[in-house]
Amino acid sequence: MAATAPPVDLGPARGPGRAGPVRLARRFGPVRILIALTCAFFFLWPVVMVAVGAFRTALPGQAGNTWTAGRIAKVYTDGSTYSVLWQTVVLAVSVTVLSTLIALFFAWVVARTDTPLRQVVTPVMVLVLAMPPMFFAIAWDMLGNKRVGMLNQGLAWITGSDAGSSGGPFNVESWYGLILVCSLKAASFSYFMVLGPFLTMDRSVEEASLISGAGRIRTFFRIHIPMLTPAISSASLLTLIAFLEGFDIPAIIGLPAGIRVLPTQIYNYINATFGGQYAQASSLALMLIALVTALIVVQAKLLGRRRFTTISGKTYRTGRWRLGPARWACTLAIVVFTLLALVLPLVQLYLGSLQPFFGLFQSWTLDNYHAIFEDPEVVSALENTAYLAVFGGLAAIAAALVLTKVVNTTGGAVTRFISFSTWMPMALPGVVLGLGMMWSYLTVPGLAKLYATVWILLIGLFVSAIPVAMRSAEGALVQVPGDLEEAARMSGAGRVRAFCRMVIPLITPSLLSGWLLAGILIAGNLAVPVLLASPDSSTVSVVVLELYKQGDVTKSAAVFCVILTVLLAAGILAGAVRGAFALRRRARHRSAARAAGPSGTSGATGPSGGAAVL
Amino acid sequence: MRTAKRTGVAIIALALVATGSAACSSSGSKPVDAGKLDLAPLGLDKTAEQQMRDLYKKAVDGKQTKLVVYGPNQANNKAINESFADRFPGIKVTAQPYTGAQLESRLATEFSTNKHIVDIVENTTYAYLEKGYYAKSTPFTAVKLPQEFREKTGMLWGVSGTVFGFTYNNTKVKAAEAPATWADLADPKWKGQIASGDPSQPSATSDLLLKLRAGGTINDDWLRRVKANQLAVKSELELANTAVAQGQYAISLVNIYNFYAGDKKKGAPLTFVYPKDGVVIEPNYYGIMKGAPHQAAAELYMNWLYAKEAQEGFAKLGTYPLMPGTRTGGDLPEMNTLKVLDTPDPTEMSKLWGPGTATLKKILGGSAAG
Repeated sequence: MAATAPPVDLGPARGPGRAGPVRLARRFGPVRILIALTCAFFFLWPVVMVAVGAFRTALPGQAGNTWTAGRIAKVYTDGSTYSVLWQTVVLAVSVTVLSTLIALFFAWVVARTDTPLRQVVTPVMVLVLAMPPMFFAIAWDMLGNKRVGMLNQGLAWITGSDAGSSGGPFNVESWYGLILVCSLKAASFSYFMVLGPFLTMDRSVEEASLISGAGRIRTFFRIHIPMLTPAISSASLLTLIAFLEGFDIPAIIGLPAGIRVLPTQIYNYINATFGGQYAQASSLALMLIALVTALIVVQAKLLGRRRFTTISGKTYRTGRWRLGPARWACTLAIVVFTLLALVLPLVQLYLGSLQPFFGLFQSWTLDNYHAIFEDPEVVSALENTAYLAVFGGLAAIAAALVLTKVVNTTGGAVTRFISFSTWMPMALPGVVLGLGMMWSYLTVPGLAKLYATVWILLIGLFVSAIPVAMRSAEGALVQVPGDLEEAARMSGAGRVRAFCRMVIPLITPSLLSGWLLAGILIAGNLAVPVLLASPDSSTVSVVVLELYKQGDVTKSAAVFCVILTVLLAAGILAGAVRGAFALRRRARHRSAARAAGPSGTSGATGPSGGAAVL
Repeated sequence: MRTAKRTGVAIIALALVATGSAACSSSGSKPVDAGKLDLAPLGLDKTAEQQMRDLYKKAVDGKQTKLVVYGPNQANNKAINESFADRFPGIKVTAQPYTGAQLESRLATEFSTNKHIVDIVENTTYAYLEKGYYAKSTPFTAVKLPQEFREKTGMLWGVSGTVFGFTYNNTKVKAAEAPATWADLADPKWKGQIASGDPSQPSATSDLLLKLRAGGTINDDWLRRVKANQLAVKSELELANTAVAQGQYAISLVNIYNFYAGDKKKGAPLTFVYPKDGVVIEPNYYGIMKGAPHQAAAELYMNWLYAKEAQEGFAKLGTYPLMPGTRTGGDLPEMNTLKVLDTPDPTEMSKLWGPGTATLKKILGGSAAG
């Protein structure tokens, strides 16, 4: 791990005309408080409203409310609550461990090895990540169906047995099926959390380890893993939290297997009881908040104030490890993962989009595509979603960058509060977060006017994306050693200029990944728009849910296939643009090397060079 | 830095594209002179026709070019709403299939903030009546609507009737061997072959089972025998229907005729059974909401619902039109050829939901919390 000197406050060195430490403290104190208040309003207030909801007998705004602790007491003394809690923890921990291992393995394969087909891993992960969990679950529920699933049917066809009567050997509606499907989906998310740091890691430490006689395996565990600890812990923590509150996959695959988790139980308290038992749902949500808070504290204690810089201002080699025959085993792993996480579900969905009725293979039609393009609500939802994903994602990553910088460069209770508050939207299951936002914004007189506009939706989605955007920004900033920024400031650049001119260019690939990640999460978010969207500001996820509820699974599959095709086109376009930039950059490097003469560093590149692997 | 600048330009370009595309949503057709409306398909007398023209003019003059309807059947009613928009150019119907807590939460929010979006709510229960959400309205076209389909205070009006029975997969079960009554479904020969929606929560499945139980057609012993047949409980009725259509199971314990009609149209190998021991027909009620932002358009819509054109539209969807004299559509039999069971009215049903679903959960299972 690369140790760096503690940050030095260079304020006074900039001359008498600039602010000194006291004035800076005075100047930034109120700013931090203002930021903290803003964070409290956007991130904490919805949580408070949900907590308050546990003691209400009526919804906010409804007449006849009384206050009682009876409902929360009933939930917490009910034995089934703890059975559900146990199942939730088992699922979340299993998925976290498995998906993090898968993500680490593939990040290492892509960043450090000469494995054939490694280039397909990132595009595959993008597509798996972009696939809405609901579709992923539906596709796998069909694929792994015990009686009519394609896997069992295929096996029956090969072996000549009859899968229809008693069912085949695969049954996705089971514990192992649920964990497998969740892990495949979660691995794509974790992969992007660890890939950036892997690519931009300072290889000189690794080289030192190898030169000192440590083998590659030892180097991987003693150098790579410790250096990537923040990224791994962030990815693990986010996965753990995501599956503590994951709803779509457990609802579609878990419930038929009798597996209940807190989010499905909360959803059922709201949607599956006459009149909706909101206080009970809020009570369970408080349990999740407590769990997530504990996890955040544990992570903070584990990592403490250790520094984990992986980028340096020095150049380094980018040579790959030659794996020999073992590289084919890695290729096989890529093929298997691609099949399970992408090809088979996609084949199922594309076939579904061409069927008049999902799961019937006798006839094929393009009617579903005609229907969705003729439906103005679907077209409008596609447009709204694109708009919200672009702007919501951009706002989230920009805000996350500023907040992370504030958190990293200042200390004290206010800063800790800011850091803590940004986790809170993650602590609530989606549907409860949506309720909390609606209750909280609508209790503020001016903001009530935002109801049923696209703006409240944008705010809601921005808030929901903040925890992930923050982790992306943290992961990016933590790699940059303070001495680079300090060097810029010693050269006369101001604090803001040093940050913008020195730090941001170095972490631009990570920020763009963060924006993409936030945009994808916003585009696939169902829980927030399902409550905050108006008939005129609907999103794709809401439209798809409605189609699904109507039994129009084939039309919803067609909507997904359209989105996927657009994403693919955008991806190809982005790849082409990126490739063009990379070519020009290489050309510039070559001319610079020629101008510098034979002493130029051959085979070396800057920190952003690793991004070309993508 | 050049790369960063180019990235910035690309971001702005992308954002502009997104903004531009978001601004290009469809605007719908334009209003016409009320006198030029073709109202002959409505089958109304001259006075009612003129009243319809007056309401249309009032809506258009008041810039009420949009009408918002919430309700559980609105997804199925797309053709109905398109028909209205075609008949009255310039008034677009935005329908949302909200139900349960989502609908309740929407309405609570709109009333608590006094920012009303919805004009009309369609429902099969009187759930929002006692909350005071509905406004009184009397469609002048509904004069002949039987009293049994009118809510007593004149706020909710039955428009069409949904038929409940069950379905089977005709590639797995021969017609001669198919169950014909509710009682037949408890036969052990169907062990492992029946799927249902979730009976433990407010749903079409629990609604029907509670009505059959209240009317004495089934009892707790029947429920236990169905459970002993290894009933497969799905979270939604539509998913149970899909599983039956795919051949995972042979029989859907409960089905709604218009759900079946939609699936059948798409090629699902299903047959609907009108149980000989009785079907249930449930009215769908419509009511104008207090504070409706498009009051004239809402009144126009409510009156149009009882006109011949709309009633025939409901018949085509596979529901029974409730106005006397309207022909039944498709292969739906005339109502008088069926044994229609007496069931509790919506007021009585409100009292049965809580304890009833608890009993269903206890016997049949399901995922309801609490």
